[in-house]
Amino acid sequence: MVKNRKVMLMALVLGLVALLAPTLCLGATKLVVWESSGPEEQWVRKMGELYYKETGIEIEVHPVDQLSQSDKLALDGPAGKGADIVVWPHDKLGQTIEQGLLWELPEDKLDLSNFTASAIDAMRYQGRLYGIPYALEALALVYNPDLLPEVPETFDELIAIAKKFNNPRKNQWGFMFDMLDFYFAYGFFGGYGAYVFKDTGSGLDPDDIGLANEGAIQAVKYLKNLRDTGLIPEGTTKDIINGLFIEGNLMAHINGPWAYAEFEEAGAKYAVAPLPKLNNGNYPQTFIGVKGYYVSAFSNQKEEALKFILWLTNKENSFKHYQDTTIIPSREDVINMPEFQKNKTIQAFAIQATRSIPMPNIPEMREVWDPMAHAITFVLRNNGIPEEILPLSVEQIKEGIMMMKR
Amino acid sequence: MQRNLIENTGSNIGRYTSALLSTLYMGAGQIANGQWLKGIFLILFETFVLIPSVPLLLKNLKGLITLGETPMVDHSLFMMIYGILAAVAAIFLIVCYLVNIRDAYEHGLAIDKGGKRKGWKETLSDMIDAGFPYLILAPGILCIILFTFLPMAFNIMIAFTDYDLFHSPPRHILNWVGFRNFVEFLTTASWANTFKQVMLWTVVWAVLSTLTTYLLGMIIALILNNPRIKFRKVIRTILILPYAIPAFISILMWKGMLNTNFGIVNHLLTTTFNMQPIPWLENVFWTRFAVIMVNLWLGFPYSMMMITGILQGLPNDLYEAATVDGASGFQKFRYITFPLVMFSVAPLVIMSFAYNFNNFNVIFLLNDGLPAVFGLQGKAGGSDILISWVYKLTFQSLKFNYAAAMSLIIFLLIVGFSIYNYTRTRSFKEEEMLR
Amino acid sequence: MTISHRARQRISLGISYLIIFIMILYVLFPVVWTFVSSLNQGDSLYSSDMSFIPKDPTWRHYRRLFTETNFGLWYKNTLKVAVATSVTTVILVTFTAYAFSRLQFYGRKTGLIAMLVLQMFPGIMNMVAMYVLLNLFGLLDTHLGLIIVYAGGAIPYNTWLMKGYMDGISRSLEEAAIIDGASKWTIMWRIIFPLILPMVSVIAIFSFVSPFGDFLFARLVLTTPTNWTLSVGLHDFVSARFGQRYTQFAAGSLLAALPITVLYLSLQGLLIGGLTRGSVKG
Repeated sequence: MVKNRKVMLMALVLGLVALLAPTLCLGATKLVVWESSGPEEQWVRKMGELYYKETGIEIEVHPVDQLSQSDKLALDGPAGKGADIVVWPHDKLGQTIEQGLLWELPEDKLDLSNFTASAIDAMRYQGRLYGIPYALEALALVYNPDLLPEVPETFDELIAIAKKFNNPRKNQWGFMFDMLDFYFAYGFFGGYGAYVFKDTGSGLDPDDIGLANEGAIQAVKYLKNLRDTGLIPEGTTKDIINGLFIEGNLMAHINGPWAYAEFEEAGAKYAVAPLPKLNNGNYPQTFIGVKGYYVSAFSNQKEEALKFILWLTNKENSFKHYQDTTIIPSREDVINMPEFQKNKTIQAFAIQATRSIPMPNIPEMREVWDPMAHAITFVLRNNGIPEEILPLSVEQIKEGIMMMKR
Repeated sequence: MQRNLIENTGSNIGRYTSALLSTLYMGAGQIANGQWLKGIFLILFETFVLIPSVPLLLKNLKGLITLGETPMVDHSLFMMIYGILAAVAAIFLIVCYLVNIRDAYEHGLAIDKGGKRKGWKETLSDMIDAGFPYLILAPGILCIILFTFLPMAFNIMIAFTDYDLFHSPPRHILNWVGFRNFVEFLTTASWANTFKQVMLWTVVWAVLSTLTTYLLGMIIALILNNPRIKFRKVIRTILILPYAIPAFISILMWKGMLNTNFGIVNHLLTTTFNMQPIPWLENVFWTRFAVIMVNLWLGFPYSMMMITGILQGLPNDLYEAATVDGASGFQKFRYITFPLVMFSVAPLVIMSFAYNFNNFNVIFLLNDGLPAVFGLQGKAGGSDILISWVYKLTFQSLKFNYAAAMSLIIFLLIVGFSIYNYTRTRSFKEEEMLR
Repeated sequence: MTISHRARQRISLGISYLIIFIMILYVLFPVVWTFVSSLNQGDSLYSSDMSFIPKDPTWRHYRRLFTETNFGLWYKNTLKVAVATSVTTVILVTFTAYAFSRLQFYGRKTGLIAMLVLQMFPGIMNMVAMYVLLNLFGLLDTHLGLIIVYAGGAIPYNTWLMKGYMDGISRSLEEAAIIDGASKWTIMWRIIFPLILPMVSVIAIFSFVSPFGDFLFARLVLTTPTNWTLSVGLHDFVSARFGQRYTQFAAGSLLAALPITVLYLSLQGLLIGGLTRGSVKG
């Protein structure tokens, strides 16, 4: 997966402490921010100018891709050339903290009540806070309103409607998603009561893995049923799902906010709704991705940086952020604003986000993806028995974690 | 006249004294031998280059051994690299010193035996003559040291440290842990069976991928060497396309084309030939087949180009003589072309084999080593080769030390095999002959 | 010349053409399919109408390359790096190969085997070492740094290639030149070099192409987006975890293949033919 290659890249960095470079005197009036080039970078720059007018503190923005920032920081940080504020998706948090890159935020001094609870959770590692969230990415039901005028309450109803519509020979497909991708499949696991790592209240416990429990078994069985309906044949990949949907041949699928820009451009009809209820009365508990601003451990102006971040993510600016870049803000007060609620698409994602949990951000999570993907594959493709397969997969996960921590 | 002057001034102090003098200080012996220019140059070298670099070299060598003391200030990985550079520089300086001693000795020997002291013009031209190979090799050797040797040494060193996620600089200082990584990794889990299967496929993959690309490349090169074929330039250019197009997109396209239910390949097979769709990426055998096929597509232009180049160097007169003797095209191929090409190509094929043994680009991008096979441990998939499996086990867990350790083992395996085979090829045995 | 001989020739010619035809199909099939897919409306490469003539094509992705991204700039950067790498590699390799092929010196055979062996190492952590090295010399985020690493790393394998070719060139020309009193330099450049042009073209092409394909290392080294090469820029379209823009990536990749194809077309004159095929008459 490209993701793994990225990770390899990320993990490669080493810092050199240049005994040569004296610390560039960054003066107390300038903060450096790294952000991916594009709309996000432009937005921070624009806000930076406002901040400068208000406070006299200059904000300098350098375009650095979010996924490469940790590498760069590990190098530039110790040499005094690193940014004060960095940004990356929350699931890298644990790893980067172990490398010593981030400063722990003084949580007790902050009022975080207006932030979405799960978003703040995502910014914590081992019970301590390291970042302020600014955006959420959730999965929701993306459907073609011409083909599905009204979204049913329950998943079973959705499947029934989908089956009626489904006709492979005419290239009509009712409902699809990439079942072999654990990120997408997790919604069912969570909804039926499985969990990846137990949340002890003060962090996630990597030794307590709930992927072989009753809930997990039920989830996998449900997926097998889906496969048996013929709605989602072998080889259904995200690429194909997107293609079919844009053509108007797919009634409904599961996707995230990264997709609808493409749909708009291509002129495809789409609408978004939260995922319907599972047959046990729960909603699918999908993963959300959280993007947050962090303060570098090497910064000389940590307090100032924190102030800027808090300003950047306050209610007014979060709304502006959404307007400029169509992110899903991670603040309850913004989500509840009437102007915000007008956008049905974002609303749907936001509602789904309230039913989601953040992807575990501890490094041990890296060991989970492959064994679980294999487990789902064995059940769906090779008729494996979930009660047998899942415990074996959990064994593999545990083995991987043990190796990691040796 | 100048020579007489030299001969008459000073006595000959003997070669051992010269050597001794040069041992004490570079250039001293040369001066004693009467080679003023060389001597002064060497003295300057020692004074302004060698002696000042000693403290720096010693510091970095020490850093190599301790890997730093203070976290967040000393960065272990960097100290490793600096240490390697320092070691190389130190070796270079020592060699210079030794050459200097030997030179003083040799020159002293020549004089002892009654030869004349060489004037500086002669010495200079002698040096250039003897040093010519080293001179033109110097940039290349420097590059090889920096860009091939240095990373390799670095990799190997990491295999003996505790570098992983929870021990990563700059937050932590690394420690040398001896062979612990090797022992731990190899004794960890019940991977014996998985290892066997993966190893077997790795060998098969390396052999097949190398052979298919070379054979096809050779066939096409030979066919296109025939002047009777029209539009050769255009044909060659079309056939270079898989090489010209970035592999990433090509492999992605193949992946889409080979999709079981939605791919065009199966679409054509089912509609035109009424076959059942082939589970290209879901079945172990078919995935392996696909991987080889895609690799062939990507790789044959390279060998085609290379062999075309080699063919240009084949001597014409052999062919002419063969035509005179009445040989057919096929006979010419079998007795002239094929052996001569193989001769040049054999070491390259071996290098390609070694390269393909570790080439997991296609495997990774086409299907990420999948399909998942029940019974394979440690996240191994049906088309995973040794290196991609090791990568999943170690790099994904950020256990860089394990990854480096396993790369070392794989390296020793390949090198052993390659050297053994290379020394048995005629290319090696007859190499001296050909020169 | 009997009839059967001519017939045999025609048959073998026919077979040759047949093989060529099959190969062209094999090669062009994915290429054309890639092109057709790059005309898709959305970001996905998939299209339900499995035909080579798209029903609803759009040039949007090609346009966007030039209007919304720095594609043109990346192109320029890559060409610059590729040409420099090519020239540098050819020069370095020629020198080195000449020494191994024609000169006698201490450690020649060991050096050969060492080069063979060294580049077999699966360098997982190579990029890290290179990054540190470049940083030491202040060459991070520069094209020069990339060029040096690309060219330097290409030496072992290409030296083998070139040396083998040089070995096959008869020495009579050189011997004649030495008798005439030519210096070592003259021999190298005026006699040997023209004879190795085919292999020089091969190596030139190989080393020209490699910067187009490398994105892992280039991405690590080049942080400023205006310095990016094509493959770094293109991979930016598909490196996000979700929402990858495959069609734009395909469009860009096809365009990126052009210079290589053109170079190959133009160098074919040197590649084939070349001067005397290694023998000396009279």
